[in-house]
Amino acid sequence: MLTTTRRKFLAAVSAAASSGLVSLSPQAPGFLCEAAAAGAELPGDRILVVVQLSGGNDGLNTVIPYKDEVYRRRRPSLGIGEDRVLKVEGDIGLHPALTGMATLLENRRLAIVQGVGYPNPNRSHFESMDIWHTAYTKPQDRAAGWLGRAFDARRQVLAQATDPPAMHLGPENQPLALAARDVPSPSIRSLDQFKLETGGNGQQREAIVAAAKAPRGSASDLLKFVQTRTTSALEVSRRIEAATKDYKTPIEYPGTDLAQKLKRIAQLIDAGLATRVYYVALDGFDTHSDQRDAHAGLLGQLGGALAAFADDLAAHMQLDRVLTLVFSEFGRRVEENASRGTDHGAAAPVFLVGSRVSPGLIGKHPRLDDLADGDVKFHTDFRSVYAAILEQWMGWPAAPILGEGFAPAPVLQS
Amino acid sequence: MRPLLLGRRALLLWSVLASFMLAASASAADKTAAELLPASVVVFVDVPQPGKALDTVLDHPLMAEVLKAPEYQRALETPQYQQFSAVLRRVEERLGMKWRDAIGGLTRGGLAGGFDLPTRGVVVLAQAASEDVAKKAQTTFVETAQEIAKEQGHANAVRQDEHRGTAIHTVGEASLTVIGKWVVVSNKKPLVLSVIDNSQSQGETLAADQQFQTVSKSRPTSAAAWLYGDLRVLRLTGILRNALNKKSNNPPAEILAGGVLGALPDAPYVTASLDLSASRLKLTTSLPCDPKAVAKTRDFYLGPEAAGKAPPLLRPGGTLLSLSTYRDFASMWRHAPDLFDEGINAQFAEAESKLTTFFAGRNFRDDILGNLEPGVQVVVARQEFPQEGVTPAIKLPAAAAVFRMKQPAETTRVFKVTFQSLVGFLNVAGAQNAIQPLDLNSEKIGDALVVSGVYLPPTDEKTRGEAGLNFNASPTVAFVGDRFILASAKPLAIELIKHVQGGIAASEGTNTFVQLDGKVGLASLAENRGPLIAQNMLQRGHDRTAAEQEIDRALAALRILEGASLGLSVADSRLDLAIEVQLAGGK
Amino acid sequence: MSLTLADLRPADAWQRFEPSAEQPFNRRLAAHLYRRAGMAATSRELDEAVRLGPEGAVKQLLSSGDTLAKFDQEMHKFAQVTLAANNPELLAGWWLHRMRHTPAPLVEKMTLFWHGHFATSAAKVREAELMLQQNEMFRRHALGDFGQLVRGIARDPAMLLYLDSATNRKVHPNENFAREVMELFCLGLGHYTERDIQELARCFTGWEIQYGHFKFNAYQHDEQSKTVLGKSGKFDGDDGLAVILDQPATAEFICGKLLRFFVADDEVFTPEWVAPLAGKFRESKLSVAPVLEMIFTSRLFYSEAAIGQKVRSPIELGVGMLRALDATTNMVQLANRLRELGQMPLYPPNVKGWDGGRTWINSSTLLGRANLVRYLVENPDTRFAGGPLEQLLDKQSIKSAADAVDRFAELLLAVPLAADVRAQLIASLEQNGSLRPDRLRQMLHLAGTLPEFQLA
Repeated sequence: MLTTTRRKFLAAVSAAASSGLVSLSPQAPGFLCEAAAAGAELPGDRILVVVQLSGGNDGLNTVIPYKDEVYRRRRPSLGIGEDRVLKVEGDIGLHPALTGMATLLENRRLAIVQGVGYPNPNRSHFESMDIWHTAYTKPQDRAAGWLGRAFDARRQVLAQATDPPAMHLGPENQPLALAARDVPSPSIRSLDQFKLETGGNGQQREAIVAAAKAPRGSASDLLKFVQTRTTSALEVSRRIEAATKDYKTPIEYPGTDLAQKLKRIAQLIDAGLATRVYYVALDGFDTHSDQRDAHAGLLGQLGGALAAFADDLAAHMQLDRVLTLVFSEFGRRVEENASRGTDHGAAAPVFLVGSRVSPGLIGKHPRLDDLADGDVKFHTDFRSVYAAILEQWMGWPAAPILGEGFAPAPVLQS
Repeated sequence: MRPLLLGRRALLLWSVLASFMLAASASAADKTAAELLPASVVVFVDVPQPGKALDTVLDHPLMAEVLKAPEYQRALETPQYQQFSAVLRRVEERLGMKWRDAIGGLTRGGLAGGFDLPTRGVVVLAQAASEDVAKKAQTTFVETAQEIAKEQGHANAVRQDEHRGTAIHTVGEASLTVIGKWVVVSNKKPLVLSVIDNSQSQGETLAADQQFQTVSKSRPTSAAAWLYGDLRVLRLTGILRNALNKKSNNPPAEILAGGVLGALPDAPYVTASLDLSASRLKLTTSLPCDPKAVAKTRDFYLGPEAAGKAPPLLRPGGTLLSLSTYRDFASMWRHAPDLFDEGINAQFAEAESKLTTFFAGRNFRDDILGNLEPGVQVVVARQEFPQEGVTPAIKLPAAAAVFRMKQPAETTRVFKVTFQSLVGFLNVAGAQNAIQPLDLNSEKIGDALVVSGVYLPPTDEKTRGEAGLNFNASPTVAFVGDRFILASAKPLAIELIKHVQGGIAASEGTNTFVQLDGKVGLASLAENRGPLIAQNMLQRGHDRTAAEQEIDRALAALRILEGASLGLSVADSRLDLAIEVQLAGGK
Repeated sequence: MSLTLADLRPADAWQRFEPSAEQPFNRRLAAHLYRRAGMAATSRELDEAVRLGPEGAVKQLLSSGDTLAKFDQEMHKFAQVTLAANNPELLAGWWLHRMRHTPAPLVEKMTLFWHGHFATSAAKVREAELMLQQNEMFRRHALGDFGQLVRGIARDPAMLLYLDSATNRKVHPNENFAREVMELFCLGLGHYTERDIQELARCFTGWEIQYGHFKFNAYQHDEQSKTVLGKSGKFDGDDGLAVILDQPATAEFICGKLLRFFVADDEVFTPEWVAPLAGKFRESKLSVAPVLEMIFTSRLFYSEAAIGQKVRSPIELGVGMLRALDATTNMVQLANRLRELGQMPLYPPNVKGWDGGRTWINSSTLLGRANLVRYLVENPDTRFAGGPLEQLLDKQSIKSAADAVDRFAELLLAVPLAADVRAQLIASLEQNGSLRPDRLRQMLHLAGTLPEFQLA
């Protein structure tokens, strides 16, 4: 695995090469660029960040077909007009609060996958969320999530790792997506769980490290195992504390909860943890009444947090290895209800943020004149998005995890 | 490493030791403390008979209980206390008497203190019985200090110099001097110098200040302690006004203390006096102001023209706490843009739209709150069980609030319907948490309409004697005449119906009054002895015996508290706050 | 020089342990016994155990269930009061309190074992009353008849609610419980087919939970014949269970788990090792006590293949430390901290329970364990024999730093300290050659961060 410094060196060289400084030999820049690119492309390094929007995000008011007559008619008070949307391309615009996403689009860091869902949509929060988490539409073996199953398949390798394969930041229960039969992933309320408490006594900390490192002549295998784990845990703790204390970023993150969590993740990624998956959730999207302000507030949070996160990763040269997935358990109905809100729906857009995504809109916006029971129809099964992430990004075979028949959606650059 | 004697913490120790110290001084007529303090002192505290006060406190049965408490025992184990205790023992040895006797004897003339604004310094003055006694104490202090300093390797810690012929000893930040029978200690040397100047009539004294003189005239002679706070300087600097004009982001604080906060910026001074006896502790605070002016911005608190009067105090049987206050919530809501900041106003707006839906479309602020007369009575009372054959395992008191309606007929209907919706909502929410549903009943009891929700009893016989927490509640609304009663338990609501026309009338000018009955409080806790013991076992990890000991000890200690009360009243030109605690035991 | 199983032969290892001059039954071995069969022992308990000898000590551990009556009653009342708030987290604190104060540590340890084996989480069940009921059922049969335990769990409201098996209809039998009974509770993977699961599910049709009580709904019961694991008949739930309990695989599965729980984490105990134990289990008609007796009195148990060869679970770490030092603390807080370490009682992560072993050890749990130890020694609410920590030194007449380190090591550590580490601990506790009681907390914190401390 590349260490941070070596990667930074390669990235720096790559930057220098592309700026034309090394122009003596035409081959050299290309060779260096390739080396840098190859280094950054090591699958073992790649990270997935999952942002879950809990409650059912109103996709129709997020990625908006603002010229559509049906849209204007069915959304008299919630509809967003041409004068306010952030235009993307064609007849599609983003909700005005998503200035962050607009910036990401400009920097070609955002893919908007339209019409994502699954057959026989389920409109229950728990059921549908479970389906997204486990990639099983039938309630059979829902003991482990799609990512958890991936970890289980890799448990021999993961048993050697010093850091957990995934981390969930937040006070909620561990997301089912990460649950695995054999490989635990911690749920962390705050990075304090990685802090070694010594009451500020630096000497005590040194003593603890020294005692852990001291040679143990006749140690059993188990003791040796615990010893190596202890020293590396102390090291991880030191790294995380140093990373968070000394973490310097030119980026001003918004003060929102989501943004701060993503900032923590950026710090952990920069600290060089071996963790491959990070998971956070943003709640509040179940807007059955008075949706306008609440939804705008949430989308503003989301856009601002994602934009800052991407900029920060880029500033620390980590963006190339981080892919962020944003999803919700279902969209909402086309017709607004009597309380100026919307009720549970079906298909909705999914967002991917990174430097290697296929930028812009992917797939067409589902037709609003061809609804299924008042809801938008899906054309992209969410499992094909998962398949693309598993195979093309993480480098893990998708079929054993998702089952056969889900070709990877074209969301990543090849 | 600084030695023990240096550092601010030591000032407390010095205050104690200062009483033992006197320096031979030039002749000094015995001035009062106020004649020694500079006029720049903004807080002045006077304790005429410290010895008597100390005796009352230390000999009281309550103090005995405090000494037995585990928290106190733990404090004794801390290293800071160990050090303090060692020094105290040394001093006692030198003097040949216990510290209590020493203090009593040597503050016979009184104890005073002041906070000086320019120097940000604190000064303490103690008047001893005689100059001779003081000399002995002085040498004790100086020698003890030098001894300890030498042990810790600081041979020259105690410095001595003089000002206008008076000797001053300084250790670290603390300075001491003696003038006549007065012992003076301060953490700022310039302050000590000012006191010496004043003793020789060479400075501006507090006693010469006009306002101080006026205020002192009306000082109660029997007070155990008296405080005077000069707010003029603060007022001039505008600190207070800025702080208080900043819009609040704390609605509860405004509700509790809005009137007082509104009066502070313009108040010239504040006084407080403490009455102390074995059976009573009373603190009376007075803030001069123009209530009518304050009422302009805070009429929800004081009433228009500051004439708002609290309704009578209700005290049905078993009352644990009774509160009566004048508050116009509708007016507060209307004035929210002036009183509160953006964020709070946004929350008010949000709440208003939600509550309007809840109250069947009636505008919450004007139609609901606006239909309630200002003035609310709150009662918290112990409950009798079993109720409907059920006794909860943990017995909580019931609470109720009584309002007067402006348009009884209309308001009654709206509230009744809202209450029914509330019960429906509670039933749905409760079902998700496996809580029994509330059985909604509407009945006429005499002239009153009573709508109540009573939990269905558990089916299991066993559980009825040890039911869940929710069985402490049977939410009820009652309407009798123009009164509206909102209660957490039906029996309390019914009881209050009988009392609403009566009650103990508030005296003229009372704005808020709260009364707590210690005996009922103790009975309330005592009937939950089992759960309290269980909680102690969980939270301390004690086995049953240790837990019982601790809880029984705490209950015995609480027996001493007979009651407490708090009252805020509005006079023509001031606001008065009186807090009183009644104790059992003692002479 | 550590012995692995490879160095021992089953026939030898299962013979009774005889104390000898090379391996006397001293405080070290007694501490090992108590650490495994309970949560840890105080100095006095160690002395008592040495006096009783290995057989006597085990007999006392197994039979102390009889002297429990008064303690049981008190704990039951205590639990009832805790239920009033219907908060399972308080109940978790209650159970920790019980583990700390019980005069029958083996009963409590086995209750914990069964709780992990028949895993049910309060996060889903949410009714403290039902969790308590299940907990008390485990305790009743902790050292007793496994069959009764399984039949009890098949009717247990908390378990069935947890497995979404509160109803089981004739038309569409609910396979969840049947699957877990075979896979997790009795047989283990590979000893049954999907067909067996379906047939077993039919046996349980009509078994329902109504308002927190078990009810048999005859109308929903499938009366036809079923074939489970080769046996046929008009089985009901108990009959189906009887077939399973009869399988040799059941005895082997349970004994394998007990071996791993009490002897060593990592070792793969081949059938050769498990066979004598499984034989004993079957011989005693699936009664647990004789199996435990066999384990605790075997040469295997006192060999290097067992001593220090397990990772302490978080509960053992927390409660064990309190017991060994005769300490008490805020049990609800302890429960919350254990949650961060991954083992809050009554909240297993999934139906598999706690895997244990090396899975307790990762970057965040190791730091959490160190922080837990620090919390226990620094928190003013923690009382050691009723007083502050430093008082323990006086009570045990400990005069020198070396003495203190050795005594505490004996109580708290499963393996001997390396010379360097021991020297470091002693140095942290003294100044100019004399014992500094005010440094005791730091020394204990340091000891609690050692890799040695994580072993049981």
